[in-house]
Amino acid sequence: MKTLSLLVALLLTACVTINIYFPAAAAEKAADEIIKDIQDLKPEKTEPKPKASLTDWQIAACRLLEQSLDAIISSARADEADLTIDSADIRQLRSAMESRFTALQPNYAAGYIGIQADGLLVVRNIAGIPLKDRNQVTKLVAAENADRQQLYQAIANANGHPDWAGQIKSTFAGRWASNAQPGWWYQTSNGIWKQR
Amino acid sequence: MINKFLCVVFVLIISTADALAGLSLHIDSIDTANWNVQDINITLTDSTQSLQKLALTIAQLNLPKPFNDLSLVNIRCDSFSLHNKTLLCQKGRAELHSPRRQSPTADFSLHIAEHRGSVTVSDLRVAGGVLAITGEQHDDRWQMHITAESVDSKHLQTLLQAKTFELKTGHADFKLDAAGIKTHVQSVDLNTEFHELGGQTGDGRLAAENLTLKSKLQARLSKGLWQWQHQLRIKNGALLYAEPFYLDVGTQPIVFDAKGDWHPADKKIGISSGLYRHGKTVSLKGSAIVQYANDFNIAKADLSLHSNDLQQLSASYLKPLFEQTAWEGISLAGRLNADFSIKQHALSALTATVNRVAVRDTRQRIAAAGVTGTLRWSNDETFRKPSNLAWQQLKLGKLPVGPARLDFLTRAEQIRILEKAALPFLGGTIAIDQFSWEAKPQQEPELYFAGYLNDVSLEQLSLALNWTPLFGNINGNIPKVEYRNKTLSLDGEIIINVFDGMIKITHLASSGLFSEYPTLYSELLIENLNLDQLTRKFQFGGITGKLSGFVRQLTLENWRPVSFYAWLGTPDNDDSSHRISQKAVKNIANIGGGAASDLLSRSFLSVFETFGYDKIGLGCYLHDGVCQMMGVDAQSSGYTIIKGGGLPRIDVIGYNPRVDWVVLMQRLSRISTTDDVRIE
Repeated sequence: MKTLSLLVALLLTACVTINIYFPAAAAEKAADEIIKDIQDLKPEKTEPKPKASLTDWQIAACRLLEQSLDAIISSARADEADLTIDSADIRQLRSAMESRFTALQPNYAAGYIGIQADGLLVVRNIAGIPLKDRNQVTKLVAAENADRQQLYQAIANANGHPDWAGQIKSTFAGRWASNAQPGWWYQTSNGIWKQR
Repeated sequence: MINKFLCVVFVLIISTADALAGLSLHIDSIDTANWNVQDINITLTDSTQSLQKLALTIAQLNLPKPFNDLSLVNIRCDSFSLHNKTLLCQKGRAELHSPRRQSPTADFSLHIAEHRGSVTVSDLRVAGGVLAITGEQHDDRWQMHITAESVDSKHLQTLLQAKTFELKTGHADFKLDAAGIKTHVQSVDLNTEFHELGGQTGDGRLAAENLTLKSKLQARLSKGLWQWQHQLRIKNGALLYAEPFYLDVGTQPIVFDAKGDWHPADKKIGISSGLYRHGKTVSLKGSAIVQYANDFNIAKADLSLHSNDLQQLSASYLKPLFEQTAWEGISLAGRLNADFSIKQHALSALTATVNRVAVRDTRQRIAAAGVTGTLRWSNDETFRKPSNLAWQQLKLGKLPVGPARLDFLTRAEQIRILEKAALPFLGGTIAIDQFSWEAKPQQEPELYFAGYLNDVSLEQLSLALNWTPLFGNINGNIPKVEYRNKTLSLDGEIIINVFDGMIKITHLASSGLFSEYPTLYSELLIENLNLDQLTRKFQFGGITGKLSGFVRQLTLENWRPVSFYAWLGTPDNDDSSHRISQKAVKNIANIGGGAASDLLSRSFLSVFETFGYDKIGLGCYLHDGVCQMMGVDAQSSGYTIIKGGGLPRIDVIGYNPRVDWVVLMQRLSRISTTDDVRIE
């Protein structure tokens, strides 16, 4: 009896479906893929992990149980959504950002520009930039920021949720900093600048 | 003067110790003609000596307006006189004092009379340099003269407490002559020289390195209006940055001369004549009225620009404006003259004449040479003066357009061609019957185009694009061009007569055609191409017969196919000879890995040079990077690409219906083909 109770508890735990409206994990994965591609760092190919190591009878039991629960708490159920990052707009923006990265990279490395806490770039040491390069760096940062904003909106649009742009921006904000290369400057959420 | 002293206290101190060893006279203060002298002491020193010295010390001298922020302290005069209503101090020493700082002791002289006064401080060593200051006052009138030599810019900044501009290097000389009545300044003459100055504003938007300049400003006030003139020379070697412009003055000095008036009450500056000249690069002259009540606003300006060196002009003055725009990479060379007017901070009229101008683009989107013409534009919607532009050479991408001239009208938000034009293009012509463009506020611009392509040589086109030479011609009628949703769409059709057949291009559209990531949409209809001619051109291996097909919903991004549905095959009504060579069979069959080549080589079929076939056909539906393949017949486990006819019969069957597009392109680039060959 005790074993049966434990089994039922295990089944219930194994079958809980979390209702995620914004696919945060997928967004982080998508952000990493895009950022690494733009920065020419190929993301490591990770084999999809098995979702569960349940045996066939356990899976069948789960499905049965889940279907039963659906009838009671249908509103709580949602599929773990993926995030599409493929549309003409996204491809165009990624291409533009990838081209621009070559020009941005030495400015990251020199500390002239840094990644703000919101994921946008800022010219953080304009006095150090040689006069002949100053306008170019300023314009590069402005163009990159405009493209980043458009990219977030394009991803939101491609997923049929234009309202996700803000959340996508927040997700990317952390990922830009995480993908910063050694020597680059980034701003933490409490406003402190750090060098990777 | 003396009788005007507010308070005079005589104190006579006789030293009893050494029988008149010292004698001192103290005056609390003297006030006259707005000069205020406090704590005056006259002391007889060395009275025991045969030559006694009488010394005047003044604790503080407060100057009249407008110098009342300054005072002189710790004054000592060894040579002075105080008589006949006059206080005269020569060979004195004093310290200059302002609310913020106090100078070291400097040479000092003072002359205060009943209606006039003057003070001089010289050899004042401050800010790393030497200053001399003279102030004179006569009744209500005053004048001031300041000279400064070799003032260190860093110290100067500290002295002036200038926070907006941080000076790092260099030194300055300046000479100021100012005069006025009461508190009003009536004239200013300021000559300034900066030597090797370096510094920038806090936000870095204005900066200079190695700046050596001479500036001369003269201003006179008359009836509430300042008349002024200014001359500025920036010498060789300076580097300047004024966002977005970066100027390497190099060996071409910059001159900026201007004169005009200033209405302080109206917050308005008039420039009756001005000249900005940067060597041979550019000269800009004209007049302007500038208002600065709220924002900086050019109320009116009439300017003439002349450049004998457009190459340098575009490098220094246009490149910064083009950064990160579609114009980035484009530069000009040649000569330009332009007259333009500005009203209420907006361009109102322009006449520009270009002479032997060349256009270059680092991205090789456009190139032109020998461009000559006159552009006339006005914001007046009734403007009717024509413009024209002619060129000797023009290249759009890799495609050359021959010499031609366009006559057009530009006014307000419109451009309209005035006469039909025929542009020589690859042995034929691009005829422009009508062209107009009009910008619409808050909307996309309206574009109208009608024209046609006439006998454009496919041979020349293929040569220009570095393709295998093709023969034929291209004709087309384009009755309408539209621009909507940032997409340029062409109605009508372009017909390419090639290989005895025809390729018809319709529904042509593009977005971002000249950007780094152009997108192109089109549909193609292919009819009765002569396969013998076609395969000879590409050394694919001979095939005779006809080829027809289509490409529908073709989308190219950055010139790479993203999606389409395409079919190429033997047309149903083709009664021409159908033969295919061994080489062509091998090339079609080798996609799968070369087994067919071995089979053909090893079998008796190797004695046959050609084979008969009934139909050839290959289709692809490209989506998500995968080509869904199809052939002339569906097989249980594949699709027939070549359906044999006669004996020996040869069929080529593909067994992989889904092929990655990149892989397919790699295979085609190696001219390799299908999975298997079935010989019956």
